[in-house]
Amino acid sequence: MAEMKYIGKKTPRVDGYSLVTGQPVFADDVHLNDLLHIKILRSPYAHAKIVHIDVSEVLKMKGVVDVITHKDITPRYFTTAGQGYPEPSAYDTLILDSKVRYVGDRVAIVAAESVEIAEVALEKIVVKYEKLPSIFDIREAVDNPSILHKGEDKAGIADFNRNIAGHFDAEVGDVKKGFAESKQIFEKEYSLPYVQHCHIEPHVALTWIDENNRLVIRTATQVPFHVRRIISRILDFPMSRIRVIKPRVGGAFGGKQEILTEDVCAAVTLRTHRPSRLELTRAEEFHASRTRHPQIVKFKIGVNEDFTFNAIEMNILENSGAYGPHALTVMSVTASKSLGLYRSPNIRVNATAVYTNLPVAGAYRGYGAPQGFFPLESLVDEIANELGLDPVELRHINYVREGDDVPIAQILGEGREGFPVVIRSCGLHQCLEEGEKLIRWNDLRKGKKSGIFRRGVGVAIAAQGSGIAGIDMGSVFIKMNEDASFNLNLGATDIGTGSDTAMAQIAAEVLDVPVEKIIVYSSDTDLTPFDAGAYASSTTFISGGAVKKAAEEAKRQILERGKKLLKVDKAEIEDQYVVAADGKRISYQEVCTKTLYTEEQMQIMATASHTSFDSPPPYNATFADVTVDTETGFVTVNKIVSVTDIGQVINPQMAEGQVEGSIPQSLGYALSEFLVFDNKGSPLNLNFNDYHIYTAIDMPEIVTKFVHTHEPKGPFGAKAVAEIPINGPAPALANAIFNACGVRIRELPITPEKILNALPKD
Amino acid sequence: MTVSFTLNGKSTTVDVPLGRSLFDFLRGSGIFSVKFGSDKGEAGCDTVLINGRAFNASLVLMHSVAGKEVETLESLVEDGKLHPLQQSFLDAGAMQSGYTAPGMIMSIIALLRENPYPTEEDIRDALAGNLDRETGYVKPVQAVMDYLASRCIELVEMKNTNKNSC
Amino acid sequence: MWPSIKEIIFPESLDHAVTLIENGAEFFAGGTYLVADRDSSIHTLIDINKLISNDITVSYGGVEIGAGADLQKFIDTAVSVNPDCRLIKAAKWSCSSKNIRNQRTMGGEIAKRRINSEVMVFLLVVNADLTIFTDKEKTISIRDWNGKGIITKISYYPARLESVEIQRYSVIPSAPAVVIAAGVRKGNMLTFTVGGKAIDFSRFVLPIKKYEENRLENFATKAAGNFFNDHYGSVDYKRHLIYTALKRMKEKL
Repeated sequence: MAEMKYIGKKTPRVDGYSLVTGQPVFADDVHLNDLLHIKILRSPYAHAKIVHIDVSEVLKMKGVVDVITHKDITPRYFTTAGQGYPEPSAYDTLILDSKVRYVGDRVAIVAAESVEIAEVALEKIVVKYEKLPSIFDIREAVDNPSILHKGEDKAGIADFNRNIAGHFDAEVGDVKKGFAESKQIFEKEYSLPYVQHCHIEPHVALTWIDENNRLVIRTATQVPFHVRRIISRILDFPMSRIRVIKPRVGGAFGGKQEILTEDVCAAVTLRTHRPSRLELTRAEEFHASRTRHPQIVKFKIGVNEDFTFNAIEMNILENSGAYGPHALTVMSVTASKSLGLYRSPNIRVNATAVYTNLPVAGAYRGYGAPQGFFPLESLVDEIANELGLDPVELRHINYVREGDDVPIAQILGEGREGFPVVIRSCGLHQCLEEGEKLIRWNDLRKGKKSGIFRRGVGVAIAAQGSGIAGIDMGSVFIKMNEDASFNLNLGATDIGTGSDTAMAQIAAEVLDVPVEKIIVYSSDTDLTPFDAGAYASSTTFISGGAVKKAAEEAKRQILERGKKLLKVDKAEIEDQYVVAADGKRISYQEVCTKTLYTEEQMQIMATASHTSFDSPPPYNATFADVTVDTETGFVTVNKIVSVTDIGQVINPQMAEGQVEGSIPQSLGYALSEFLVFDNKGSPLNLNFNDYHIYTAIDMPEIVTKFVHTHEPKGPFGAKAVAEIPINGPAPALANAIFNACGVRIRELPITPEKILNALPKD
Repeated sequence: MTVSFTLNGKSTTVDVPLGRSLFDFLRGSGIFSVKFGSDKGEAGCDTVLINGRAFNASLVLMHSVAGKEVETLESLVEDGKLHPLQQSFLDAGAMQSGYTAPGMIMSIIALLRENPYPTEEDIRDALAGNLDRETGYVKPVQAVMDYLASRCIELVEMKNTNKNSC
Repeated sequence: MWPSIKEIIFPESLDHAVTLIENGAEFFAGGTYLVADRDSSIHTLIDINKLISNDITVSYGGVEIGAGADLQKFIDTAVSVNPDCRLIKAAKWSCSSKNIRNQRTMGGEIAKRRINSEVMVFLLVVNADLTIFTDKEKTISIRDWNGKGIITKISYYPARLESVEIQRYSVIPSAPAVVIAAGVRKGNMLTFTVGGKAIDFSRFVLPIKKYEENRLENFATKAAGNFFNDHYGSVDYKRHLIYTALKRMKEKL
């Protein structure tokens, strides 16, 4: 392939200037006249019926403009999950319901002239609750006499009478026979806790009626087009009169793939005809937005004489919390990503998602994959140690190879059966080799393991996807201006990932113009074509594919026009010129100017859509170097090495940033982050003093590397980067702890007390 | 309550309700580089300088800034030209969404005023109150190191030029 | 916005200030704790910033800290006096955000009496003196302060810091510590102070000559009585942490 000019090169962000100068580019960075401020009254009980609600005193308050309870809203069930239509998540949620199902569930909405008035007003709403029995233990949910979602009018719940939000099982080969033939069988159970995204920008939405009597929603979202569709239906308001604007977004990680503010804001604006604003507080973010799905995962692996895997069985019990957004699809990703990592002729999985009276889980970076890889990569490590093998070696023996097909991934799909999965690029071999060197694997693994402070290393490998095969779609519109700049309008949602820049690089590479010549505008349902949204690591792969196609079409038009203007049959594009064989040439500027103003006038422009029946997995190997204080159980992470195969890297600096940002999230998952509840289901740690995310002084040394592969299905050979690096650090850390002190913790978070209790007493 | 202070070099007198925070005031005045991060004010994306030191604007009440000098990120750009530290953040790719970049930059500006030659440990200490969920702090710290390195080179060059002129 | 605030008073003198305290009125210095919580039962702030010094002076006699000095200034000064003292360096962990340390005052930190504050553990173990204004100024040991009046000055004696140690255990360094233990040796006496996520500090004095292993264990058990079971660990585990901390400090002191 010819040397590329912009792909794979360091390219400053197209929005960089506005970000370092603090320009008003985020959702809340706007002043609206006559603005109403919204606050939500939330349930103090985990499970209760609202038997009486009285807002008469509140309505008399000066400055209170509107109060909404469940009595004021026509009930239309929906899912808050911003997924493609029809959504694979259950329609089990109302904007406001007469029943509350977790501490923090919505009870009433107040709109007032100021935040302070709204806050005081909340306290004056009189609510009588009839408490109902609650379910807090995930193992007690199925067939519990207390049922969370009674009612036939809800759709898509697997079995509401049994509190089952979603369920699937699948088998490839014959697992029973597979285990019977195996030389040795290993089986262990693992548990994953509640953790929260902690994007620093909270959920915030502003709505108003514009000069054309249309509803405008300016919101921090990953899914503007799904917001428009869902709001239109649940508020029974014509889609043609809704415009959703996605400005810059201050981090999302899946948390903003959810309708959590827009419905309330839009309802208030439609009732009052006034601009409205709703911003969640940090406390609300922690317990009343969304979390990662807690799961209990059981893995069983049968191993042959030659250390290959003969059978793998996986059981998932997932806690969806009080509602079921993403319940089915998250656990199908848990299964398909981890079961797609290793070769095995016999594979079976059984998964059940249940309702409990705890916070609602949703999409969170990795989308279930981290919940699968912690168990899988812990167990593979256990097997290697049991068999006396180097854990890296056991992985080399078993991971998938280029050319393999992965039938289990096809059966599982995402919410429904998917498409044939064939691995066309896999850099796991190089990832492991590079990582071993960078972490000093052999030295540290076999080093001395005695004394109070013991050092050890661990490894984990992982896979993810690139978009959702056959479901995600991205589209773009590109037009040429007479100075040879191009407007690139696309639905793809840059949520802080830098995808606008990556898209500009792809367009620049195709059109052979500098990146500065590409003016990117992303995500406004009025101005940009459809995109399924920024989730499932889809933007580079899916939307990037659309950008490439549209740019190629624009380039074809430039060439055609150039040839006409030069009056030649054959020409080539070279450095912003159309050049004929005899050396005659015409610049991009001239082509465009003449085409716009004088010669057979038209606009050089193109649209393109892209979808894929493939979701090529990016791969990663993460290595951790830790020291365990065996007197206290405290763990110090010395270093994390993360080596990733994302095919052709589009923007090295931003790709590194994705990896570097993932690592502390996963380390937090392993060590310091966990939402805790009292015995009534009330959350106890709702701020950053009590919920511990990594700060600049907590970071270990981070080493980030990419290995080179080429994915034939991706734009310029690229695969996705956003989620893959979050899978490895937690299991690599757990494995490093085992290597250091012989203790295996199968339940996150790994607290010092768990380690100490597991250490042999002397 | 009337409060007089200096905001980004301009003397300012405002009438604000008691109990109003500097954060609310700034955003209300269109200074949008200060960002909301947490109800308890511990996130640091609202970092501003008061008399040259870094503070979280959410934790500062307006009466406390009377007679003081308040600086926000908006003051850094001069004649449309980025402050070299901002340029370093850009060059190092020290942001993903950029939501927390203004706060980090202001914390470092304060650090550099008290200590023009900070170590990596000093830099991390100064950033410890700037919570970020996107960069792992790797590139922001790198950006500051790059900035320091480029300034050292500048100083050496200046010294050399001076020598030549002597 | 802290909407319940109806009045902010700038008293002329300390005499005046102390007469203003009543239900719903609070002394206001740095304000970091107060503004973070925005307690709606508070309606009056008595701003005492102009009445208390923020100077820190170092002399042969010791270190004298105006109660208005912020945590960062205290740490910078104290570290410059005892550059090798790990205990003083650890004081910054009482609040990992430098921005907040710039604002939080020493007087406020003591008045808040947060049990998992390294600054408090430091001041307790070195047995700092407080100058308190009630109706007049008097100087008392920090251990004897009942929370009444305005703290105007804190003093301690670096000479006492020849041998001091600290152990802190937190899930990650920036997180508030689950257990903080500090120890000093003065002549033949070892003094330990233990704080953390607990309901109170504990203090323990041990003559070196009479040192026996089980005395540390007994003390750890006693100190653990101030702790409770939570997601950071059981009381029994925390007892073990305290014991380990004491043992480690004992070896170094």
